[in-house]
Amino acid sequence: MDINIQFKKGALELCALALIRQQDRYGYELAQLVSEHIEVAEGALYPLLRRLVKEGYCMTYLQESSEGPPRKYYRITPEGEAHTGWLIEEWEKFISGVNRLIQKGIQS
Amino acid sequence: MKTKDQFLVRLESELAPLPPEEREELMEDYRSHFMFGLQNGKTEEEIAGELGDPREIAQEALHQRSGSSTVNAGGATDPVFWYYGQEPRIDSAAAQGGGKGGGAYPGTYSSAYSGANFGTSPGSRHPEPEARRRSAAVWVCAAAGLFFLNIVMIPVLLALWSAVIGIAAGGVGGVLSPVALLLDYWNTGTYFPAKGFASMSLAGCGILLLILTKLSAGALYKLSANYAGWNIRAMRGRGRAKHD
Repeated sequence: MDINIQFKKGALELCALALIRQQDRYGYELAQLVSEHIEVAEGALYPLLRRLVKEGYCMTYLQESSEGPPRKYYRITPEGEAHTGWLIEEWEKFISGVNRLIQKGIQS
Repeated sequence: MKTKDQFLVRLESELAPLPPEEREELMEDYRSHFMFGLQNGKTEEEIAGELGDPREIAQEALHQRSGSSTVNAGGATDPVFWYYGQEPRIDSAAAQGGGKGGGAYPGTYSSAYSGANFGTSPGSRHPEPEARRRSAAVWVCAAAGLFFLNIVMIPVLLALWSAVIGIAAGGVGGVLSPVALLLDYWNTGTYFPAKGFASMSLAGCGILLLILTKLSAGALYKLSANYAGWNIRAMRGRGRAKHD
């Protein structure tokens, strides 16, 4: 159970960055998109986004919308682009390593 | 009270350790999250449920803020000290978990994820038993203050010590004056009674001076030791540090 939480923690940053890399997103949209695929406490997203902005991986801009409050959009920066690439690489290495290990366990 | 307001009020109070502008920015994020959710036809209860426990969110915000830059040995992150009035809570269970499960993401994340959605009970929280650490600015101010104080105080102490050494030298000289008289008699073969009386009174004065030396040296030693101890405590912080 604890390990599951750790997985999701690591994954949330990757998910958020991957979604922002596709196109500019606003907070609520990100929360909806992430929780479509993984079960996560959406509240954790906003502090994470703040940190991503602080570390220069994202930048924000406000956009008024006809209905509802103005949307704070997140846009990826070149550093964020590079960081995301690195995270994905690490993630895939990790996943394939774990998979190989599991396969071995099944075969033997 | 409505769920939304309840959630926001609780979150705001949990975020109290953050600087006001940062707190307000985060609060704005959550307020608009509620508005978007309501617009999409969700109930306040649903939205609050999806967001998770305000306390966990606040923990997350505090951890993310001090984040990757200050991960310490245990994998926990340093708490934020905005003002001294409040001791920030640290989720020690989550911190340990972060340390163990660390790997690629050591301790940067806290337990906001262990919210209701994951079906785990929130970890127990204890205030960190360690003495609070102070910010660099406070430390620099304390160091500067002590520096200027010591520019004056150390010479004063040295002057007092040299006075004590002077008194001690006077005392030793007085006590030894009969010996000097003896040497004088040896060399010259003459003896003046005046010298004898003088050396006797000098020896008496010397004994008094030595007694004075002992008293003043003791007092001054205590004073110096206390002053040095106070300096160390002032640098460590708040005079609350354990000593003696």
